[in-house]
Amino acid sequence: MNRQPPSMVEDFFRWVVTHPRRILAIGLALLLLFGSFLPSLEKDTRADAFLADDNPALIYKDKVRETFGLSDPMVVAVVAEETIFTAEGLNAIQSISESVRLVENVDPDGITSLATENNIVGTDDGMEVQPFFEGQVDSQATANIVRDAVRAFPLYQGTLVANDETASLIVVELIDDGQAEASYQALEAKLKTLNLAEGLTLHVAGEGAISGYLGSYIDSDASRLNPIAALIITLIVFIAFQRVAPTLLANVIILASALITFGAMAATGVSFFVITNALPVILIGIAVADSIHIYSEYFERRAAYPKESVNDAIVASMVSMWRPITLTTLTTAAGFLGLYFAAYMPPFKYFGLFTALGVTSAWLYSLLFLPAAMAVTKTPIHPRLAEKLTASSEGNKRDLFARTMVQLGRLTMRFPKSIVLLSFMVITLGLFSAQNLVVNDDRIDSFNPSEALYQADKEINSRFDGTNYLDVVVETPYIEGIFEPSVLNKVEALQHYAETLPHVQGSVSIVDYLKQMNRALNEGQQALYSLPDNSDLIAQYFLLYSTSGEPTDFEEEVDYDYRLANVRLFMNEGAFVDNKHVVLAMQDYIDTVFNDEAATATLSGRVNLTYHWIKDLGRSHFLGMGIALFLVWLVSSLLFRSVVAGTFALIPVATSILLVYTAMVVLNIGLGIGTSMFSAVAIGLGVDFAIHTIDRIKALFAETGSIATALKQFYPKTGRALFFNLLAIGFGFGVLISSKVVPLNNFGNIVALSVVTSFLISMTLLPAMILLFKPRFITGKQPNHNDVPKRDHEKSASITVLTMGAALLTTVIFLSPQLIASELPEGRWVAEQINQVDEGNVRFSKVSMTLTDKHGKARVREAVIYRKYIGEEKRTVLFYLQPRNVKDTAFLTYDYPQSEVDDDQWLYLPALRKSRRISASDRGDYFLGTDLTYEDMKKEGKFDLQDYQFKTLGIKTINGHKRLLLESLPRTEAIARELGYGKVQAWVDPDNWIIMKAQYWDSGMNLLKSLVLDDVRQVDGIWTRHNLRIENHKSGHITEWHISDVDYHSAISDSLFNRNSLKRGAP
Amino acid sequence: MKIKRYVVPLTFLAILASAPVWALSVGGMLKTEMAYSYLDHYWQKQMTELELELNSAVGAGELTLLTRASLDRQDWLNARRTPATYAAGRSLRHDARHGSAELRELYWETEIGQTYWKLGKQQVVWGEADGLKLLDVINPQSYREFVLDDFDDSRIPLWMINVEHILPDDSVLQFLWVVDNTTHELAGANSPFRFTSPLLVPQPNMAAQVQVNPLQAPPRAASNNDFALRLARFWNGWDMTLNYLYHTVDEPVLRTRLEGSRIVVDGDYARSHLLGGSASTALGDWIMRVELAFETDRYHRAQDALPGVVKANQWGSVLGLDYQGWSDQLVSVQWFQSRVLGQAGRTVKDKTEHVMSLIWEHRFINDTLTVRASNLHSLNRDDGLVRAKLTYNAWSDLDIYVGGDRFYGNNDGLFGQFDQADRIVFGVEFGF
Repeated sequence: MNRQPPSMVEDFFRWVVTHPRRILAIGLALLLLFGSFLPSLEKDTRADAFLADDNPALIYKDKVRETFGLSDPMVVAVVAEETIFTAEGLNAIQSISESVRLVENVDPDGITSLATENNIVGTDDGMEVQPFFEGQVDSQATANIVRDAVRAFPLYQGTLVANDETASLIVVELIDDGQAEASYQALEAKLKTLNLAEGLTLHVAGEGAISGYLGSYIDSDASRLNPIAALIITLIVFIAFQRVAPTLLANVIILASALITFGAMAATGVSFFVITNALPVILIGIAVADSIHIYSEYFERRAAYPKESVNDAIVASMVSMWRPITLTTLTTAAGFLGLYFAAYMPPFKYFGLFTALGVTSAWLYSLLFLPAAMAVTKTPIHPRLAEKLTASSEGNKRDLFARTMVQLGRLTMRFPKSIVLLSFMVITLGLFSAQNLVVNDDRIDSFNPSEALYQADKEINSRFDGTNYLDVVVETPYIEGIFEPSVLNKVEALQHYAETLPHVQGSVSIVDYLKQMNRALNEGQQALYSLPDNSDLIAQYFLLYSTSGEPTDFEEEVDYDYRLANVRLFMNEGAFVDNKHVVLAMQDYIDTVFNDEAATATLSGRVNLTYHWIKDLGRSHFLGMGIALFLVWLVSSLLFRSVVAGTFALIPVATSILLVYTAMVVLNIGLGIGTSMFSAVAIGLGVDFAIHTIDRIKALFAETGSIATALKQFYPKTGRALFFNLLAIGFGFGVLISSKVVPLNNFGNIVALSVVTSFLISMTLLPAMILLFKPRFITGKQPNHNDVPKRDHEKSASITVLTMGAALLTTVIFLSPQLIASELPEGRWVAEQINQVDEGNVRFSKVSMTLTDKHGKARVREAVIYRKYIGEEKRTVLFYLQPRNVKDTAFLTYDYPQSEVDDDQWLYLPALRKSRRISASDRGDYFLGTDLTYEDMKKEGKFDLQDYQFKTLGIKTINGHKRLLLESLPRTEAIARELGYGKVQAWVDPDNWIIMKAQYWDSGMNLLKSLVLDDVRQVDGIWTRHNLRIENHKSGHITEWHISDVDYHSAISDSLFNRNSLKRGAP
Repeated sequence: MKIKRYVVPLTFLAILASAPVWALSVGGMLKTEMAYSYLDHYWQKQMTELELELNSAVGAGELTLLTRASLDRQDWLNARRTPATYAAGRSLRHDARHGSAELRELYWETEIGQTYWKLGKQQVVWGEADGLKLLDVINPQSYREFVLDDFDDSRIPLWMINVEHILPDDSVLQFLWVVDNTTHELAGANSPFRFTSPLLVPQPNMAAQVQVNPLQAPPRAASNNDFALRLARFWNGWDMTLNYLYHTVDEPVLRTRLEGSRIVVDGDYARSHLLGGSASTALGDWIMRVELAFETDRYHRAQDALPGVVKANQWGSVLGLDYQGWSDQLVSVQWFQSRVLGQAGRTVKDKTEHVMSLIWEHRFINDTLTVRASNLHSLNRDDGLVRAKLTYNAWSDLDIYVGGDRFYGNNDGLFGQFDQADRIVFGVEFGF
């Protein structure tokens, strides 16, 4: 490799130790900077987060959700000892249905239970739709009537009422799945306040509850484990060096790498996912290793040359350690980048990328901050440690750790052939085992079986048809196409087929309601529980139903136009291995039997989504491991300038991974979310041992000229340091073993096993092979510089990375959702209509802003706004009037008609009595603490046509008003980042072209905020928005913007819009 | 004489009192601030301050009255009696042990056609720089707490006529006639913020007996009034001003002379012309700010003990760059430079002095939490001031803050002289 002349390196570290305060200050400032981003780090424990936002399955699921209002609900089960059909049982259902309605984020119209659903019965003049029961049930006789009605309505058996009638469900839909955690806790709290009759028990389960609880479950686990890991590491470092300074500084390096990593995540808008919980432990392990190696070397030097100055000792230690530390960092980062390149799920990609960043930060701090801090602390060596380190190689004054390593060295040097043979057997066994690995994941298995949620899930799935949903969306080409008997018959056949599949316990569709209506209209004859055979009759049934039923009763089964229908299949297992056959069988049935010109079907729902994100896990795992191994091999080969050395460096990690496969097969652990990423971690951590071993043996051979002598010196010192390194990492991950979160627990076990294996193989097999084969990269016959031209390697590495990038890009492009053509008005035309809404030449208005944070704490601000067009240039000035601390703050904007010209903006701050020029390029920044961006403020409900591509998605009647749904996608990623929006969906009133409601997604396509307008009325003949409510779904912050005293007529002087006038306040 | 002193303000107040009650708007701020010197372990101040503001439409304009009363349980910063630097008959300020009460501002403003008039006791701020002043010299400053106090609080309002006229091309021409000759208020002899640096005050030989005479305030005469003109224009995205000021410099000229075996220090004030300009513009995420000033007849501390000062013209410039590319953050760097023209080697300070400033501000949680850190650093003497402040907007009207101010460097430096005055600050501000 291209070594720098030693003097340069030495000069560099000399400079570091002579300017320590400067480096410490910069280091701390960097921490502060990255730390300042931390508050904006967001948590995302949704299962959906594992799929890229442009994944077709996810997009389709969201569409289904919008059309049918179906989410991942929480499910409350009321379980009775004998039968739920008692007065107490039914009253409990009633009171739960009523009280959960009040829980925040629960959709009050999305509660489904016996107390909310209607029975369909025939009457003399047609059909009557009435609740199964209303109010309190006061006698067993009434309860029996309800029981008989439910028995006569097969649809609810198994779905709402347990097949053995001992339990009943209350299905609770959420408004925003992102808030499932808070909603789950609120729901639990609400249920605890209810007084239930004796003999009744409650269970809460369902995907909504799982998502909701998983967040807090993992949080509490991580907040318990991370401090323990840090404490253990601290103890190990203290035991190793018996001094406080190294212990503290190791923790600072850990803190630095963690802060920079999480700060960078927050700064780039990457969320904290479920699996990100494993990241701190990994960083702890890696960051501490660098400190251990540097301090080991330093103290060894202090022991060997006590008269040397502290700074000389630090410089000498750094000169000897910078290379192996850099090598291990490069290989570890390469391992994690392998995960980044191979993973298709965003959480894994980011995990790989940010761990690589964390490792690099730890390296940077270890090489700069640590020596600077060492120069300041000037920690002396503990006399006991000095004694141990200076003991002769055969002496018994060495500590236990050094003695253990020396014993291991003796064993290795005595039986090198046996060690090679034994390792070969392990590798062969692993290769066989890898083929028997099973890809599987079940979200409920994330919980410990002792958890109430786990038990509730098992309980409910055993009594009911199941809480795992597979949806089949049937689409017809025409409005009311669902009424066609041929289509309905196909749906019925599809349901029959689905119910023959394993784990599918039942299904619900509009067909079941129609059958019930048909029977009700035919005196309840059991034989006529069948579909009517003509479409007019079907349309009449719905008409009859609507005379006494609610129009929203079939919202979950058909869309408003009767063009789409949803069939929901209930499954009692959530595991991938159980459900993948069902998904594949259903897809096959749809492709070969169902789809024709009259109707097509598409799979959706949680089960389909889970299938899609788990199905490629195995492929991704092996691909990721392959890339990681290749990168590590490439980097090691380049660094040691030897392909053989690169291969040697791989042997320990490859062996450890194969051993882990064997363990997984033996212990019946599936390759799931938690376990699939172990290989990147195992490679990243494990390769360090091999790199240190090879590097040090090489250096010792150069000094001594004998492999045997080199090995003898290797074990007591470097071996000891590596042993502490292992202990630190092993115990760090060992902490995960006590995790209650099952995947984290498995992950901890597996990584601990693989790291121990890597260490042992590095300490035994590698030296044994070096002893047996005497490879050239050790024995000094340095390869000719021309043999391995560095440039060529770099070039091939660049080509590889570029090729992978191009492949990734192509994949993303092909997976992008295809736009569907429609006959709705052109999106661009709609946007133009919006922009043409008259806004008057001048305008005065008063604004009252109520800013409410997620805890409900409100701040109120009052302001006046003046706006005037001077030619085509729009000038706006806002003056705050209240409260006192912002009074007289003023904001002036010149908005130029040329979109390429930046606005000019000034902010007058009364505390400075000065108007400051402010940058107008950050259009996506929030305006003075509100939830409106500067761009929102400026455009006042309009669009910059240059920014977006528009598309009209549909037309819908909401509360009797027609609304066009306009989707606006930023033209480029740069614009998306600038605006802060990745997508905007707006419901536009086509009568006045005012946006009445809008939702905004951030550039990572997470739902960011929503805007709702009310009180839009004409003032002086101009449509004017009066009340705006903007809710930020990420921060929970709400801005209510109440506009009054609007005046489009009174003259406003041009001089008001002058920078100099701002100091005068509102006129 | 006493009555005459109150004629102008009383006239204003009479006008204010004649306004109908419903036309009055009243607001104010109650502020409590405590500063603890952690090096010397004592409270620098435990102060409560009440500010009241009254506004009323009077005639075709608006009258504003701003008063301030403060109580400080400690007495380190307060002068106990009104310093001599306040112009006689103009200050409307009363100082006592543990407190002071003053009429801060009292002015009537109106707009007649394209001309804006503001008459009375007021503050006028010029320039683009933050933290150090180059063009912002119309009002003198109170150095009770050096530069630690908010500028709005430490700037001493003056009686003046302030006229702004908008020209046909939207430029604004401003004319000022300042009749009040109040000068900088300096920290008291016992204050931790008294000036000791040789850059500012004479350093007589300790062996000699020293007599320091009271400062001679500039006589009340029209010839001592300040006159100023400023032309401001917004052109092609640039905010530009041209400034001219003929004024009595607010810093005293401290001359030393020998009287027998005694050294006598006299302080008086000198007049100067200031010609300058400023410009600012936005360049994407960056804001560039420039300020230039040429001043005649400035006095600087001299190497020679007698008379201890030399007269010279001086140049000053400020170049500021603000970065606003990160959400809710401001990073600002400024480079102040001042250069004495001529008098090579005779001044205590270097011919060219450089001060850098760095400001970082980050607002969190919809602007409820603000962190601000700043550093002023003299490149000539490696001394400086580091400040940090965390402000929490607890309610609409209530701010709570905590901060720290740390001076560093040699005692001879502008900042280093306060090395012992480091402190932590807590405060609550309630607006109503």
